[in-house]
Amino acid sequence: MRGILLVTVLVPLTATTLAAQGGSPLQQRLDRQTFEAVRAIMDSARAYSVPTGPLADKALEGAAKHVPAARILAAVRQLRNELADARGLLRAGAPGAPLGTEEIVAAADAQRRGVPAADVTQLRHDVPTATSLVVPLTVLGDLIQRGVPADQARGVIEQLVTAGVSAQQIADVPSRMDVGLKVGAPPLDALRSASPIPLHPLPPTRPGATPPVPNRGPGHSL
Amino acid sequence: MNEELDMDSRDEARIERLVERLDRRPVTLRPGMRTAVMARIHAEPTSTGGRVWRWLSAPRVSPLAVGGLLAAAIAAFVLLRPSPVAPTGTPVATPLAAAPQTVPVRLVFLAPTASSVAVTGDFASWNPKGIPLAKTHNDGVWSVDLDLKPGLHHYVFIVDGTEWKPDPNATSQVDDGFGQKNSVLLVPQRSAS
Repeated sequence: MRGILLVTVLVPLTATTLAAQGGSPLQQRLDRQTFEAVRAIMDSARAYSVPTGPLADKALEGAAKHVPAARILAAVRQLRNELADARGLLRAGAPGAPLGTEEIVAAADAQRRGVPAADVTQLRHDVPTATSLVVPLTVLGDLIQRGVPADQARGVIEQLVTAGVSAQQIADVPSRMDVGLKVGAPPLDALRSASPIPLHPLPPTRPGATPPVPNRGPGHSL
Repeated sequence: MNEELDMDSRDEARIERLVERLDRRPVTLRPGMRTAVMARIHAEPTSTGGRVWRWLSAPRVSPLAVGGLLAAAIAAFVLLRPSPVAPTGTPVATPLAAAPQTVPVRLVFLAPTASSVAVTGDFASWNPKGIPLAKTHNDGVWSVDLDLKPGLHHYVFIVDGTEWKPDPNATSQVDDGFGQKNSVLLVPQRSAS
């Protein structure tokens, strides 16, 4: 009886203490108007099954960097649109396949770094749906940033995935490629040297494919 | 040796004689003595704290075992904790699966003249104070070890609390949407082998 009494005393105390911690980080770091506006953008994203976590992160990032509210909202809105696009591209590549937030974020990020929409969809179509696209998409963006034509870069990624190369090894390819680039090797040669497996001959760049960007080396974005 | 045996036998004989002299009749208390003793005990002054402590610590048979109490407390915590709530008040779905595995990552930054270096990013909810790096060498190398979820992370270093700088060692960088750059960190899922 007394044990039950103890529980009835402890439970409300615990709940009250936890509730007192209150308030999401967004509420704490944004002014009320900005918070309400971000909330509205997140609501609209949720309605289209677009993940809202990255949107909240973007708003928090803007607040941390002391960005004016209007720019925070513009960035959050733009990210919502990018995520929605990325989700659509992945869905088009494998309708009905499970789709995680991380993959949508990686696809949006890859597009921002120059991966053409068609290659996002094609990669999802060609790679088994059981394989997460987070690493392949990110490395695809890295290769394109290093001057490899988009369709050839995707061909290399698909070869690596099909051959069963581990995600860690695929993730290491860009930094290994930088070794060749630093001594002046052309991007494709540097990529061949960096590959953990011998690569099959790559098809010629398709007409209209994204032309190679000038090699800017590691740590540079488009 | 024989003297020791003689002393032992003498002691035993003495003990037996003492035992024989004992009065083995049952002791009978005078009437009302038990009641009087209990009344004296109850009359002893006790502080409130002492009474509460005795109540809490007194052994008792309870329908709830200690394990049951613990289970109840844990269940209460799980059920009553504030769930992560989206700004609209819509509860965010919490995955029931185990927490995702984390991968140890070391970030290194060279800042010989800095008095402090921190790192912030999506893995730190973009906390403006960031996670501090430790100066590992006198030549200005700062580093921090983090356990990060597999996936794609954006981050920057904060030098002396004010300067936000991308990581020159990062594999790539992206526009942050605010006119600056974020560094990109790809954390692959650890293979099962």
